[in-house]
Amino acid sequence: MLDFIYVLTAIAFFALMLAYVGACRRLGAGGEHEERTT
Amino acid sequence: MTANGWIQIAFYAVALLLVTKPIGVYLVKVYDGSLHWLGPVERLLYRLGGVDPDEDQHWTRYAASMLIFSLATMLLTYLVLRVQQWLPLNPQHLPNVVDRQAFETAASFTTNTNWQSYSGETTMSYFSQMTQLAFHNFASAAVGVALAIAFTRGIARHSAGRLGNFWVDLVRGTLYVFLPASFLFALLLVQQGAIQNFAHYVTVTTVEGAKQVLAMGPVASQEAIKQLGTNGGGFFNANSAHPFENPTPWTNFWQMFTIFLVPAGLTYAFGRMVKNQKHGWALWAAMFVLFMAGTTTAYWAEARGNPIHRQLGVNTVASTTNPGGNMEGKEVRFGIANSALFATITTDASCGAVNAMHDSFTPIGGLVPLTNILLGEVVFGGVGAGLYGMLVMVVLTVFIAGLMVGRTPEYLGKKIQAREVQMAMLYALVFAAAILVNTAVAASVKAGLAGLNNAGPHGLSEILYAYASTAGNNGSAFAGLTGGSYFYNTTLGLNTLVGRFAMIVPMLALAGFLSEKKAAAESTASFPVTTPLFVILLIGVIVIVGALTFFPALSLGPIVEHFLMQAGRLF
Repeated sequence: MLDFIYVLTAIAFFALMLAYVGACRRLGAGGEHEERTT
Repeated sequence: MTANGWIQIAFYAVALLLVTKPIGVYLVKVYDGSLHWLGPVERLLYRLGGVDPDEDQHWTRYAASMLIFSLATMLLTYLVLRVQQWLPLNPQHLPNVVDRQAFETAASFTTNTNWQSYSGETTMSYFSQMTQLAFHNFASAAVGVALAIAFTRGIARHSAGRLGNFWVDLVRGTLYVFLPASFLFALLLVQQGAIQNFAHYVTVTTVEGAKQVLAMGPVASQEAIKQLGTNGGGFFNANSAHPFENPTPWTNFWQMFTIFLVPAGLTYAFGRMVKNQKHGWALWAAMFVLFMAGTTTAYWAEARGNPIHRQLGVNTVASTTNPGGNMEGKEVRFGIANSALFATITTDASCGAVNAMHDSFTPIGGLVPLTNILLGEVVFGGVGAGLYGMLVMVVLTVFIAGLMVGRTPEYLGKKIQAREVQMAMLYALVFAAAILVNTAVAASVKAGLAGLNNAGPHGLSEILYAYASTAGNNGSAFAGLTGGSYFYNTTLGLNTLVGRFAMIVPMLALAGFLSEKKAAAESTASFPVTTPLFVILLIGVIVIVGALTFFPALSLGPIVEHFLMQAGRLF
């Protein structure tokens, strides 16, 4: 039973990391953009 | 402190300086694909893995490849550890590793941490050591360098988010860097007396007439990559304090030297790849200043020793027959200078190998390795991880400098804008949260406190060190903490995963974003990144972001313990 939980935890963690990659990509979407600077 | 000790430290520093360029030049050749002497093996591996070596991966694909590789190898290790008693090369008939330790160990070795809550000689079969733990020593090191090279490409190129090919970088790093270097280092270790066999453990009679079991095994081959790959997981529980792992002062020097070999070379390789060699040396200089600050502090504290020992009449003055200072937890054959130097190096890098017990250092001596980890292990650092951690700090430095002087933040011609700073801050915040939240929880719940062998501030230091070491993928320990419980095995195992991958993803995103930008020509508006002022500013940012984040926790641990020790109280 605990084997199942540990393996599932590992898979869930890496699935979360793949979603995190997608989230970071969305956050940076739009490519190079100019911002007003002093 | 003695002249002999300082000469050895100076010898180490000069040797490190001398190898930085040749190693850096070699690394550039490895990763730009101009080395071919193992071409047939390389092509065979790509064919077997179905890899197109010419594919230039977008950073998201690079990250996904790295994550899938890590998950697959972690699950395989978990499985092997859980069934090792039915597998070959187990002459001691060691049982299967229990579930919680198998999870923690699989996570720990996959992430280059090598935190060990077990004794290798009583827990792991030769098969587990060689096919799983040693495999991860190579693979996790090659992954780290691949990521640093990918980050470098992000800065050097204008390539619409493309950072190279993860599988090619992984294979080339393993074949051209870690396998040949480990082979040569293992031969040196064997020549000096490290063991390499598949024998049964040996029972001997000591000079006092007692029976003692001597553990055997293929030690030298694992020891070599343990240091070169900044892994740190010992074949034996005593790690590099064990005479079969680290038999002589000469092997001790090489063990310390090989920890920094690739990380130092990477600074040069970075400079060459971004076509700004002076900037590579500026990074080296910032790392070196922090390294010497740590070494000097640790050596001073350990050579000064414990005032309570002096009050009890113990001779703590160094002489030709007495190393002096605080020798608790240290090998007599290595003495204080080499113990302090090893502790500083192993925690500047994310290695975690130890030749002395950090838990037995004086409070200030123990503060040095702990602070090194909390700074993000960017002082040469883990193979690859040190360089990309330092580059994240450089991005923050350039951003802060830009704000201070009213210039557009620009790094090597590339503008640093909101999304880059968001990724850099995510990188820094994940690390801080992984350590502080877990430490707070462990110090508050019964299951966390049950693992403590020391009360008061030293107990807090043990918990803080454990979560810092796992989040920083270091793996060394304040060994007073009993980590073999469901609570610690699970939380520390998860912490190694968070500290590795939840920081790599924003780092790769940052590299991808930078690669999307065109590099503008340097002008008077660009912030110079090759000057002593830049080095000072970079060190300042590392100290502010790293150390001050953790100052409240440190003040409740080793700092208050130091003052209480001066007042005559120990924990």
